[in-house]
Amino acid sequence: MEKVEKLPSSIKTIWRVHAVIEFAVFLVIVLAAGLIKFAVPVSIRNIFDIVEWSIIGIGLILLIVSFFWVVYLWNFWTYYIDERQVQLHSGYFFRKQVVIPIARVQNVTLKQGPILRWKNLQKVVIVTAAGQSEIDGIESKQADKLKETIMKLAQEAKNDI
Amino acid sequence: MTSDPKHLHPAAMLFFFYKDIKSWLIPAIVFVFAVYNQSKLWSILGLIAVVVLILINDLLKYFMFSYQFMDDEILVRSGVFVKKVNHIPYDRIQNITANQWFFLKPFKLEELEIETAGHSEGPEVSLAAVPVVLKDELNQYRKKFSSIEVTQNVSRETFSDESDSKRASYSITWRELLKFSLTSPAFLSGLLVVLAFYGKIQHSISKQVYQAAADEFVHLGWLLVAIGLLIVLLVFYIVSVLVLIAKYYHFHLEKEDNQFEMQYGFFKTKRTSISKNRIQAVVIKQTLLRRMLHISSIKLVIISNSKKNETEKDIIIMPVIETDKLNGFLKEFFPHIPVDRLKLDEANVGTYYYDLRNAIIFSLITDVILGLMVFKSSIWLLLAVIIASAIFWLPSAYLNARRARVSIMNDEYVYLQNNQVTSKNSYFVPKNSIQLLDRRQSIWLSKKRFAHIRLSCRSGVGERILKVKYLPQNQIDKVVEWYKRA
Repeated sequence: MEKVEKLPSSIKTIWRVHAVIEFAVFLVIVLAAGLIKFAVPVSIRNIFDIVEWSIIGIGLILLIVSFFWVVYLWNFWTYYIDERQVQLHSGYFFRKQVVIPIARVQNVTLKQGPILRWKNLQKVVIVTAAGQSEIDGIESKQADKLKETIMKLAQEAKNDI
Repeated sequence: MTSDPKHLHPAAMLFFFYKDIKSWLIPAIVFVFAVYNQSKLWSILGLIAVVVLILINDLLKYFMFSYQFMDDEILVRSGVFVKKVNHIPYDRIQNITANQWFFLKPFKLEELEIETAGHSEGPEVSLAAVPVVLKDELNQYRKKFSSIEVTQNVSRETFSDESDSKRASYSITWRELLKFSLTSPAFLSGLLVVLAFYGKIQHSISKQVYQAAADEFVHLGWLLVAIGLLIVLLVFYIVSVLVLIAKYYHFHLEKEDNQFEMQYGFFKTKRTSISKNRIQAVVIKQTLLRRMLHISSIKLVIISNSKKNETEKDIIIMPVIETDKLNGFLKEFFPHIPVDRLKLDEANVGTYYYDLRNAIIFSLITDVILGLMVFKSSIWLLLAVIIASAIFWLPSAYLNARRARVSIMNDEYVYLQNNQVTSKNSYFVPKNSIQLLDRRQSIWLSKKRFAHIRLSCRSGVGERILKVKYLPQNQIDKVVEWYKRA
């Protein structure tokens, strides 16, 4: 496992599904808030409509942008694990590199919701004493192997605090 | 060797009573307000009932509460209806604090708070009134237990090492204490509290009172009003100075095998022992005013159960020390920190450029937003806004750049220095206590070979992020490499 790895490309679908779900929730909220227009005088109802539809329009544009954004995210999201540390890299314009020594890992949590299960992926949460870092989704089998590796290494490394 | 189960000293009942009364005071006042007009008799009867109930409850609490020292743990039994037995193994005890009010001194009593690494709120066990000798007794039990432990379990911590068994102690001098309390900005926060309180009661003051006061002011003239305000400020200042002197009176620090012991306070004497393996980093803090006077304070970032906010969470181990004595102090109390090997480069020109550029951008944004609101009324106001925003943004950005440093001391320690508005923070962080390292860089910064770094440590029950922005990439990468080395 000693090389820089990308997330599986099916994670893109999952991110997109998440974006669509978020948009749907947003739509429901905006439409529900839009019901207020029946309580205001007819004369300003027009303005109300314009505001409502422009908010929905912005949401739609954001949804489309996020469809492309997902490709950007996926392209530059990598991780790397060796016997000493876990490294997570993300971003191209704003690059972030996180180094977690295996000895500092307290526990590893695997999570799988219905959407992740559909693509047979698992989310990996690496918990340290101070906080946690996440790998959004990798193939189930690989995730189990990863968990085994990290936990084995963590047990070998001396873990005092 | 186990001791018998013991009760607290009966004086503990007073503390229980005081605590309960305090928590019932506001509901009681509300109740009296609500009922008094309708029936005086019932409101008084209700009050008496509450007091009696509290008394009975405290009496029961006192008789059900007992503690016992076993060979390897402390047992604390409590609870009237729900019985609770709390087991605290000696090796899990992290901090012990003894609080002694001055009126308890003649009775040789004090309050003991025992903290473990658990995630509970506040101390695990609080013994409200016990004899002073109990702390030593407890320490004896702990020592005996740990001497058995050591032979079985050889663990090495950065801050607690066998070679570090030398004793050391330090007491604050009057000069330092005075300098400390005179330069403390604490009175400003006291003033804020009063102002907030005033804001709350403002509604209940009638307009007539305002009118009368305003008329009075006109008579007196503005000069007198200004003097009056100044006097109020001065009173606040003097009170805060006295409070600080009383709080840190006779501050004394002692290092003993595996712990630090601090003792301070005039009215309420506080003795705290902190076990060294809870220490995550050593911080040296210096506000601008104190920098001019060449004094600074030393704090510890530690793991504790305290829910206080970030900066208060740090334990002060030296409220004030003269800057020249700093290295000597560190050498004596933290022999592992190689203070002599600390070499700092000059601040980089690029760092100044980025910090000041950002500050100017922020300042211009503030100008535009506020300017749009005021430019119609007067050009002078606009000018004032521009100057004020420049004063707000630029000096702190300049200090940010000037103080941004990160440097590797040796295999174990890294030194990180940053600026918080106007106060300078220097951190000595052992590799062991850095939970994760986060290096950030935008593509434009990478062309200019600059980057940011964040170190994440444990602090209180949560996380503390130590960060420096806009440093040359080679310095940051050195730290990343250092951190990756086992």
